[in-house]
Amino acid sequence: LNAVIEDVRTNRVSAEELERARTKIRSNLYNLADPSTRFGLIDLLAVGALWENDPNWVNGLEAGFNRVTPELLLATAREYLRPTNRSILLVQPGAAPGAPTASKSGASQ
Amino acid sequence: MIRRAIAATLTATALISAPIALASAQSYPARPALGAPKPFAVPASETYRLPNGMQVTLIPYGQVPKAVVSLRIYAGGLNAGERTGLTAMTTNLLSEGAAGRTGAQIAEAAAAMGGNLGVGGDLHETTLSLGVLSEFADDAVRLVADVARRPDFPATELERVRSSVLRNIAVARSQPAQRRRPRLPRPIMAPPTLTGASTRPKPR
Repeated sequence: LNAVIEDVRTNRVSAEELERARTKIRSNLYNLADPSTRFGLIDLLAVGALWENDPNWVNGLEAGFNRVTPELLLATAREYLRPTNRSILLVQPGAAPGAPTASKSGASQ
Repeated sequence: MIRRAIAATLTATALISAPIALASAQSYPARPALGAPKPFAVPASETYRLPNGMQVTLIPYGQVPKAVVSLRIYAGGLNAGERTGLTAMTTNLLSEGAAGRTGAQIAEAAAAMGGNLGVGGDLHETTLSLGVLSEFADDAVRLVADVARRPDFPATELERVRSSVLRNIAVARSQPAQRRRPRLPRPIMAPPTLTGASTRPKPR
């Protein structure tokens, strides 16, 4: 996990990777908006009305995807995915209840 | 003791629910009358047969630019007969490599179109499906066709897929609902239907 996160914090994603991610997120948005019923779209309109006071917010989502650049991703990852912003929980099946289960390396991350 | 406990519970429930029923009758207006149902037109579909005999049905539906390609093959566990695991191994290995592409490349190609290739099988059917952005519909048909018709069945992946199938069986055996599943058809369909070669459905 650390290696993957550090890679995103250190290297710019390629144009090809970004395009693939954009395709996937557009595809997911359409799935969300239009499953067999149209409740997804109603839900998105309600979210826009409640949080943005603008149901039309839904129409700007795709433009938002297009504004993401490799530089913005790098800056965002450096700011928010820093090691001091993490909590790592280790679940150890079979450990005695109440026993200290978090290893030191996990707790300090 | 038990009967008394139940009686006490009933009394308590009655005491609690009575004021609520009274309150709801007082504070809520009558429900509005149901409106007339909206008209619903079943989308027009188009069905035709390809020169190779495969039936194709096109169904325009929905309001977003997405397309779902679903290939359904009338063959499954029933056709495997006594060769237990053949269906699971075949469906699991289909997407591990096809037409010279590795499993990872197939997954990447599907992701680049905005979808995931799903391959699954049950007793009577094997399904390959891929939902993509409409602009990639043609490529999606090609990818599904490659996986269905030109699978590589790479020997290098065989053992990994085998251990994955065995692990899934072990997990299923630990779950009551999954243990029941293979037993359920037996009282409904006579055992010879499940195991006898003569009554087994032929692949269409």
